[in-house]
Amino acid sequence: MTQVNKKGMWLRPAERTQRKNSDWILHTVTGLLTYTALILAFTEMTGFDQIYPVLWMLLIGICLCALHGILLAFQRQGVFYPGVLMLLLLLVIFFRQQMMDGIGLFWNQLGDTWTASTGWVLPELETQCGPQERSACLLLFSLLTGGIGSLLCSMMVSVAAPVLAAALPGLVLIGTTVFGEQISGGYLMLVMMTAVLLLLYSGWGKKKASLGILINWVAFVLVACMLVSAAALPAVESWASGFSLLLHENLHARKYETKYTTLPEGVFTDYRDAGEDAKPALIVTMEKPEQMYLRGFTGAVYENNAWNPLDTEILAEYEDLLYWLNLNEFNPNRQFESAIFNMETERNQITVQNIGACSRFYCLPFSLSSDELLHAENLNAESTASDGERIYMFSVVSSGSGLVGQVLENLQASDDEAVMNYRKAESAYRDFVYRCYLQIPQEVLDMLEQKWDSAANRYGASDKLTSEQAQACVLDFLNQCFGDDSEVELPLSQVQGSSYQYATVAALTLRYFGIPARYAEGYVITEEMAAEAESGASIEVDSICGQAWVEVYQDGIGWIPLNLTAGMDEQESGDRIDNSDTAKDPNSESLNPKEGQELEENPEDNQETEEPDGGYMTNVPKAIAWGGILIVLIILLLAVILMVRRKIILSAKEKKFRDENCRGAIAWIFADTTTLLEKLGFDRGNGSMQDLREPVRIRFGDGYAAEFWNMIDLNSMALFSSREMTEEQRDAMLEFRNKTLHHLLSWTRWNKRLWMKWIECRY
Amino acid sequence: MIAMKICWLVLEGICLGFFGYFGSSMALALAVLLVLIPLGSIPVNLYIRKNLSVSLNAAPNIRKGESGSFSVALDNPTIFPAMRVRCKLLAQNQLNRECETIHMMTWMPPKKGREAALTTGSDYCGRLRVSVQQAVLYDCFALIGIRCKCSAVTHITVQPDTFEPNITLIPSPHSMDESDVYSQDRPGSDLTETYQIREYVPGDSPRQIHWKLTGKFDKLIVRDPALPITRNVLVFWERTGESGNREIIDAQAETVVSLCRSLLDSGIQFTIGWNDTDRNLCILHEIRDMDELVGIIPRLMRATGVKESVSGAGLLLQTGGAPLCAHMVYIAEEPQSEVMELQRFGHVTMLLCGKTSLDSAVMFDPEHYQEQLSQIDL
Repeated sequence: MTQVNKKGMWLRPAERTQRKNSDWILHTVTGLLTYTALILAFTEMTGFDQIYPVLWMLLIGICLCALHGILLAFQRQGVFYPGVLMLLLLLVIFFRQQMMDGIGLFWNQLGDTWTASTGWVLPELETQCGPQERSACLLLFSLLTGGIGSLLCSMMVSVAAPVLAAALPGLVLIGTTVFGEQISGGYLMLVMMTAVLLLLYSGWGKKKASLGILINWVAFVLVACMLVSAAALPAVESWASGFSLLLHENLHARKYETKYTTLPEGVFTDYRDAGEDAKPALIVTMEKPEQMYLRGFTGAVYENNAWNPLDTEILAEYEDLLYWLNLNEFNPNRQFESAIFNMETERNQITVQNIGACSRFYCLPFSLSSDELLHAENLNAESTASDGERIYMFSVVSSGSGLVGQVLENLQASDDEAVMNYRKAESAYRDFVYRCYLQIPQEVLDMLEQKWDSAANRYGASDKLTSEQAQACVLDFLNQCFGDDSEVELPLSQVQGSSYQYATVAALTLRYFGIPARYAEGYVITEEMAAEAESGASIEVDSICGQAWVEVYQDGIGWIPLNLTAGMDEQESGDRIDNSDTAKDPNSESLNPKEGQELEENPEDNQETEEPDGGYMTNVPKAIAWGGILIVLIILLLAVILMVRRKIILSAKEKKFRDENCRGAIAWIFADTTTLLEKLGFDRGNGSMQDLREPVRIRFGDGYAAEFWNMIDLNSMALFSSREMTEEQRDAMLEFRNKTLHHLLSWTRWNKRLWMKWIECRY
Repeated sequence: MIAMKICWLVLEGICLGFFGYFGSSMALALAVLLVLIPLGSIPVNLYIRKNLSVSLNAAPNIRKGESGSFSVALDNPTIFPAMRVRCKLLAQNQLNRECETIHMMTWMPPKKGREAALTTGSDYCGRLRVSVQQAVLYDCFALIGIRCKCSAVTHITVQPDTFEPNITLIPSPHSMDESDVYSQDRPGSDLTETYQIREYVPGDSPRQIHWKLTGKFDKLIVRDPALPITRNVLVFWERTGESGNREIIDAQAETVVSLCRSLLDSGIQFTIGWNDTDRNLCILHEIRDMDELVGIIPRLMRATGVKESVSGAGLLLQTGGAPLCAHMVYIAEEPQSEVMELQRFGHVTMLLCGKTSLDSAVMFDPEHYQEQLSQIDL
């Protein structure tokens, strides 16, 4: 006798049966369209614009989808997936390197598109193929992608058509969001039509089903279109970008700032003057104390009353140039050091401890010599959540401002190879600077163009001025604007008279006269502060030293604060643009005469700065508060709805239980008791209630079981007997129901009790 | 399910991330859409659940160790699609309480049904009760579930394998050889002897009509055949005192069916019986032919056993079924105390496969029962 190895029972899905549908043509067409829509949308979004690889991708996919359809017709689709996978595997094995190069080429193309839309630079993959082999590599990559894509499409159409129908437009929508590409209407229509066809295919059996699916899908598309249209409304876009900005600001504040941080970083929307209370910002230790402009934020683009860095799209446009400069070790931050070359200069070691300034930016002078910055841990105990540099060391070219002219002469005279290389790189960078740092927004042009032209009248046309004439015009104009009795309307009126407005107007004016300029913010160590400090001693730089200034691009040398610009010292030595003094001493005779007056005229600003922590209320807590109130209101509304609903249901139930027709009432009560018993786990299913007697007895004892038995009889009598039922019997049934309810409440957990009470309205 | 929820969460996170970081209103629209889809499906699913129906179809019998296929048919008569329907199916062997659960996920287009094929089976005989315990409607991301009230049940009998024991019926020393003893309590099938005379009722066989008396009383009079008990055997399966060992239950069930089949083959009239432990009833069925035996097997295969309860022997004594038979085969795992009292009515052959052994009992075990029970003397 054979010994049988017994294992027990099993329950599992049946193996997939052979397809019996004769709609293989529809299946093939759907697969083909899905694949085509997917590939076209994919190439459109990713910017993969090589025509032949795309055509090959389409061709191989269409062939495979058609092959799948033919095999489906002959009920031989089982060989399709292993066969195609084997072919692809062979392809990868034999052309591994070319395939990898193809993937690398595609990845780099994708990275360019991504960088252009987001500004984020993806790591570039190195490829070993030469220019002539590129097309072959891309072709192989297309074959692989096409094979995998068509396999997936065929499989998804067979297995989960509705999922594919929902995923296809979803993928396109996500793709457009990710890559920021505007997909053309034709492709979008193709995608949507394919999705509809997929849904139709999935419910093809009945005409009614197809109609229903179509109606549902059209409704869904309408909702989606409405949402997308609503999202495209300028107000919504503005709100979304505003929210994003707010989020960035708050994240920035949380990560990099402390309660002492006062500089606006180019954004003046919610700017509040810190007043005259000095708040600690930096502790600077110098080997040889000297005057220094420690710049942090620099603004290149002025729009909507705010300075922003260069847009990522512009950077992406000049990606090759910036990469080439990087390869040639041209660093704009150390340009002055690069321009010095063999000149004998002294170095000055500086340590900066950031205790209150924004730690996102290094506060560095233009004469930075070594950028081997020493990172240190966060030493600021009051900003535990913050991130960024809190202490760092660097060296600068000592007294760099006095060397500018000498450096320029040296650069022009030298024919050293290194100097020539530097000049080459600088020339390229200068070209970039002249392209990007001369923009003036239209509203500022409208506001100041006539005044700028009138300032340049004594020299001739504004576009034909020499560098010196342009600088003189700028100084004239600034004197005119910031004079004591000036009534000229200027940009950034919300920070009127401050160094921020001065720097902004100066930068835009310089740009108008053809001098590339940018807005810079940071802290200024004045000559007086430097004179008072001893060598190696700490200089406390507070918020009063925090200000903005304008930097101009000095050809050959780089970005330099305006008062250091070569030639300007000699021309206008008595009328130098130096807003550090004006910022420190509002009563002094300066180009910022209104700064002190403004403080007196705006007492509200002073009041706001008297907040105990020196911070200010942001809009995010307000939004959170409003959101919280909204949520609470919604919860309260839901609670009220639930209460009213429960009251109505219980009233109706009570009415039935107290019905004058005792037979009906008993039947109702017993039916309700049955549902309570089901909740207790006594589910009779399709069987008799009498089957539950023993389990009930085991759990609740003989007394309850006997009563249960009697109630079953009573219910049977109420339902089938012709005898009249009494009120006592109804009350007995009600009492039994209450007992059951009591058991239910004591046997169930609190969350289920809540559910039964408020959602199911059992009691 | 969890993967889908995580996917949704990741997708929503990506959209909100893009909205927050890039200020993309399109990403915001997508994020809102991702929230609206599950919320919008709630009323749709609430409507569908009122109309959704489910049914199970299965082959009634399968052999041990073989897979029997059955199908779950879901029907959606509404105009809305059910994006995800999750059914919980439970298969329970009613004989040995073995259980298996499976969750099935499908979707349904509007005005259309969906059928899913599944297989079940067991290495042990018994009656499989397959039921749809739960059907829950979900949105396409499987976030919010709406439970349906529909349910369905079907049964599949896993037929026991049988062997052929040689049965020798040893006459009782107290019985008279020249005549049979007939039951005084219930009619039988022996037309040669009359159990009782009574008036005709619709449904009586014309062969039962007593024509002489009919003529005499001028109304139809019939006679009921008597039940001979001298060569009558009661095969009784004790379902109390069971340890729950599935192999022992399986061996007992096969022994009962094999014994009945051999008795039928030998032309010995017999009654099969067991105790219903749920209702504390003694169930007895007189088997006359193979059809009746085949018909009774599904009921026999759902005779659930218990460890402690009222014994089948005790119930048999109460019902008075014991005096009907001169021979009794008592099959049990553990013999109950009342079994000794049954010996007053006739010869009791005990076939035991538990740990307790009795001198007068034939012991067998799940591994070698076919050899051990190849010869049974009653």
